[in-house]
Amino acid sequence: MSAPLHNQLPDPIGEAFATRWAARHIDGAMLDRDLTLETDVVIVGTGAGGGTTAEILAEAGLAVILLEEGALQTSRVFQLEERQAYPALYQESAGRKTRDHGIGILQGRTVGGSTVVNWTTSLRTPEPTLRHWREAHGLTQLTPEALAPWFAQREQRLAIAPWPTAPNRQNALLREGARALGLAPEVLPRNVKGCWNLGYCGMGCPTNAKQSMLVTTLPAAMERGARLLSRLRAERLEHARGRVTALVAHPLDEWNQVRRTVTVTLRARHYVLAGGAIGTPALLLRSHAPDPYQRTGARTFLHPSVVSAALMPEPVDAYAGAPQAICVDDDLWPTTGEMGFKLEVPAVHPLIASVVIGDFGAAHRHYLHRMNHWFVVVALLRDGFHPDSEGGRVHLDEYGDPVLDYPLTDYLWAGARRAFHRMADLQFAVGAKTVLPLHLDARAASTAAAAHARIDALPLRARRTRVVSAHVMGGAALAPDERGGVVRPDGVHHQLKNLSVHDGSILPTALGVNPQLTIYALTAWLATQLAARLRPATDAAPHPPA
Amino acid sequence: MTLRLTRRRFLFLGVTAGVAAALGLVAVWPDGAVLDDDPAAYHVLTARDRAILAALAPALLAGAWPTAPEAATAETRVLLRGMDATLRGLPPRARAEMRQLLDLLGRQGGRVALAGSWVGWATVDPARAAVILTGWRDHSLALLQQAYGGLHDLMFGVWYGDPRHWADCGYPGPPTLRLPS
Repeated sequence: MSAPLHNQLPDPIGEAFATRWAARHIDGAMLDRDLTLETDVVIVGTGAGGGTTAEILAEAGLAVILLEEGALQTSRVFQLEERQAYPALYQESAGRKTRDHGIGILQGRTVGGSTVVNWTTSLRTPEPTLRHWREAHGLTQLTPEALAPWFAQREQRLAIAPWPTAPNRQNALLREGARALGLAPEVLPRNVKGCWNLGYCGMGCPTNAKQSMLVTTLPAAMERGARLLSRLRAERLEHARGRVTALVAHPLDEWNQVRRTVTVTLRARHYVLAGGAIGTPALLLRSHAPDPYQRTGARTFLHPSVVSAALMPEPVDAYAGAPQAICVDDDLWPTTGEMGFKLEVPAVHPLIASVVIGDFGAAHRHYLHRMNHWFVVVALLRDGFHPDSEGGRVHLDEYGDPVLDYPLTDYLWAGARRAFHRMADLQFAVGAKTVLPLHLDARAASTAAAAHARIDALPLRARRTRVVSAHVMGGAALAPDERGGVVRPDGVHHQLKNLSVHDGSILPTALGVNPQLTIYALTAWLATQLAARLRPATDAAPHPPA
Repeated sequence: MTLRLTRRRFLFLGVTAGVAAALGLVAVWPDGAVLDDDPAAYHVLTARDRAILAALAPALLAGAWPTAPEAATAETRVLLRGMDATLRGLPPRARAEMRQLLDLLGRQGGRVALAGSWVGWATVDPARAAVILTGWRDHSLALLQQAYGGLHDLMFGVWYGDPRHWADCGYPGPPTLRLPS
């Protein structure tokens, strides 16, 4: 496809991979013969957990090989077009779904993982979440005091700070609406340096302002001699007598199909899984890793999110400007035991907009035709904190690919209904002409009273209600006891001594906030512990850059 | 019983196809023969699949879909090529689900059972296609709801990912970014 180049800016990371790091990057799509490599540590995955771990281990002088299922894509290919970005940068072309198609899942798949495509929101783990983990999941060491230095360290490393610029119109509407309802909107911290406020974060940052793993920790690890294997899928771990002996991988072709005719075998002292929730449990399942209590893939959480679309009298242009600058947490921690939710707003571009409007024909076009007048609010439901919110479970399909079973429970729907009411009130408070909960049986209402009556009557069910997720968590939980999870509190697998998990799958519940900063902080802590254990006894010199 | 049903089925087929032709409904969307002339190489979609998708597209995209036959044929090709490319990059399970659906719809029995259509896809008019889509959207069977959702996301995704359709959304497209020279 010869599209015009919207982005003609310099691409320093792409330049480095083309020159001084070229000898240490292998693109699996180009690989035509079997390969065996040895190293100190193999890291599967290059997102928040893998990138953070790679930098820390490489700086400790350990030889590291990074394995990534996605391709190496740098800013020169971030051309601000959805049709290119979604197939190139997301799992299943941004169309990943739960088994019954009840929830659509946006998850990154590229060098840098979801950090390349997220909307930069960088919030610390809420204290009530940590308290719940200590009290209900036995993670007694995860106190705010113990984690504070790790948050601070990551915030400094990734230039995380509250967004100082005026929010775009849609975020301003969220703030105004929240204030009109007597709520307390907050300014979101973002991991950006010199952000141009364009609004294309979800298609890969064209200016390299977003401090994703692609422009921070991964380059740092490459400078320290790390090797990167892209478009290579970790097929299985080989293990015997409680230790991993090898990792077997196959390349992907340019259409992301696995080529089992070529095999890459990696041998290391230690293996770190950081393929993300869904991906990491799937690898453990493919490997038949010991799992005496069937915890692998269990309790996978999504922050299932419901959406309310208002049409405003004036243009909102929610395709432009930093997509997330404001959030509203007033409903996040209800004292009644109901499911809490966080309110945020999304970027609105034509392709994704056309997919979330579930109807077709004239009813669909009515909304698409007015896309620049949308004021869209999303409620992220905080799953995993209640007996009726056990999340989903990762299984393998007949091809060995993961499939997530995520039952949508009455408890969750009750939270969704409250969220629809809240969002409608907020949207009418700033002058919405109509409000439509995204649901196949919903009709747009032009008054708050009508909206409430219709929301109360909506049959909330899978595939009728549009439910989306951009946050995948859990499935290989931290737990002090092997009956409660997959890895120990130090990140090491309960049954395989030289295997760790450093990604979002270690979270015992969802978070109630966008997950990236939690993953950065926890994996920085775990990686620092791991580096101390693995560091050669002799004070060996760090591996020089090749 | 069997005989009567067969005869009724036969009559229904003839009447529906005849009425559609008489009303001129077959003229505004491309038929299978035209699609078969598309010289582009398809990797996932067969000619039979393309006839199904071509029949559904004008209904799914009603309001945005062109009325002139030549434009409709051109849009159909762009849409089908885009869908083929999208499907090619999906993992095996997602492709297999779509394969099963299209295979089922491509057989007469499946078409009658799932789409309630006695006429072949090349002569399913947009009004009938809208009824079929509504039937799947609101069906009690999860399989048909998923079929609706899958086709919806695939087709709209290709259509609205195309810069030619952005103006219809009031979207000016991305800025051009370059350093000052």
